[in-house]
Amino acid sequence: MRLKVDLIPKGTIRIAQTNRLIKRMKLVAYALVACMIAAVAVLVLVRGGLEVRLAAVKREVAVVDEQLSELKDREMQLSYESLILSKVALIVSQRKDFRRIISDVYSLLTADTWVDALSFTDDGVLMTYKADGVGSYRKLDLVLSQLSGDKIDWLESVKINQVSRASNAVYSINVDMGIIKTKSGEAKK
Amino acid sequence: MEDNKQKVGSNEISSVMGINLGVTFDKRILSWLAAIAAELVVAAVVIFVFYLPQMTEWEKLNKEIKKQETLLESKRDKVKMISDLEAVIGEAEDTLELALPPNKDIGLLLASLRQQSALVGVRIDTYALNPGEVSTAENKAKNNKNAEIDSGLPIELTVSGQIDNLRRFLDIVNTSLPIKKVDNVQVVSSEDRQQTKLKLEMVMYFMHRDEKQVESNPLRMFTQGEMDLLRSLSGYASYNQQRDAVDVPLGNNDLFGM
Repeated sequence: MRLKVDLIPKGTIRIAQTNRLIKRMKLVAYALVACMIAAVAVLVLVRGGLEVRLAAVKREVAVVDEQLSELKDREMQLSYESLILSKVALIVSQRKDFRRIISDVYSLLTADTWVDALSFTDDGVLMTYKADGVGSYRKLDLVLSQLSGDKIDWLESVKINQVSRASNAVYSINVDMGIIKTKSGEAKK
Repeated sequence: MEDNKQKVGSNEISSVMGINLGVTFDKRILSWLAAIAAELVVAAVVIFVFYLPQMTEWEKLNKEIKKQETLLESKRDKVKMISDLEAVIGEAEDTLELALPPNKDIGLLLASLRQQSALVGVRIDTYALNPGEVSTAENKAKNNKNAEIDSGLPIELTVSGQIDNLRRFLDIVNTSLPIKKVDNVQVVSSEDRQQTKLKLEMVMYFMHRDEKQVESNPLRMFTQGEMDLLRSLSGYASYNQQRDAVDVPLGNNDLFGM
């Protein structure tokens, strides 16, 4: 025997289901509205935040601008001075150390020998040095051998142009000294 | 609406606008569905009309902020650089201005050479210089093309004395202000070997302050080499006008006074 008991009428169940569905739909509808409001609020807030940030940065720029305009004269002066320094650096870099060459050449001289004339050419140094007294030529030769040795680091070559003896027994040697060129192409003067 | 909806129960309908849906709905479900659909339409409108343009605005604002921040950073760097340069140049400011006078100051050149020769005990025998257009030098220097040409004042100078003193003279010429560059040297001994003559070809430099060039010159920190040079320039001897004014009553305008 089959016993069938209807505890709740079908109509009531349907109404309950419908009500539940409506409740959910309400929830979805309200949630949608809430989402839209939240999205717009976020948008407004973010934009406001960005605008505030931009205004703050612009204010800072204005402050620094003010500082810079106060420093304008100083900036121009420093710029002028840095131009001077650049130019001085360029001039100094193009200088040649004539003093060192003259000092080196004179350091090789012995007693009774002297430099009669010394001039600089594009490739080196043209020098006439002389000697007198006893053993003049030997004295000159001694200077020449020191020149040809490796005592002077800037010297590349030594060429004897002329050896002469004057009537007063003064010997002279004219030499052409080649100078080692540096990487920049300038003679290592 | 009543005509188009067939009533099933008090709250139920089975057709809308004469179309039979085949199922029975509660009227409230339909109205909430309509409300959700309307909300979705409004959301779509808000997205397209309001949200998307606003997103573009955000992007613009963000870009502008970044631009302003970069600008701020560069301006701050400039302020810092000015203060750093100030600290570096500081006391060397006068030295730099003495190093390159603003114009072809022949008086200054001759007076400084005279002072330096006296200092090391050598005598200036002769000198020759061709200053060129002194009166228009400023205008020419303003023109960048001619600035380099006009910025040097060549001079040929013959000094005589003991070779050691002449070497000291060469030293002092290279380590004194205004800056000079010796281009060539000739050494000749006198007959009696007591004196040596030194013939110098040199150039004294000057630099006119060209405002356009100064404005277009971007500030930068000095290189190590430039810092070293600045330090060494501070140690250079400079022409002492005060002392000279006592020794030579005619002052610097006496170009040919030795």
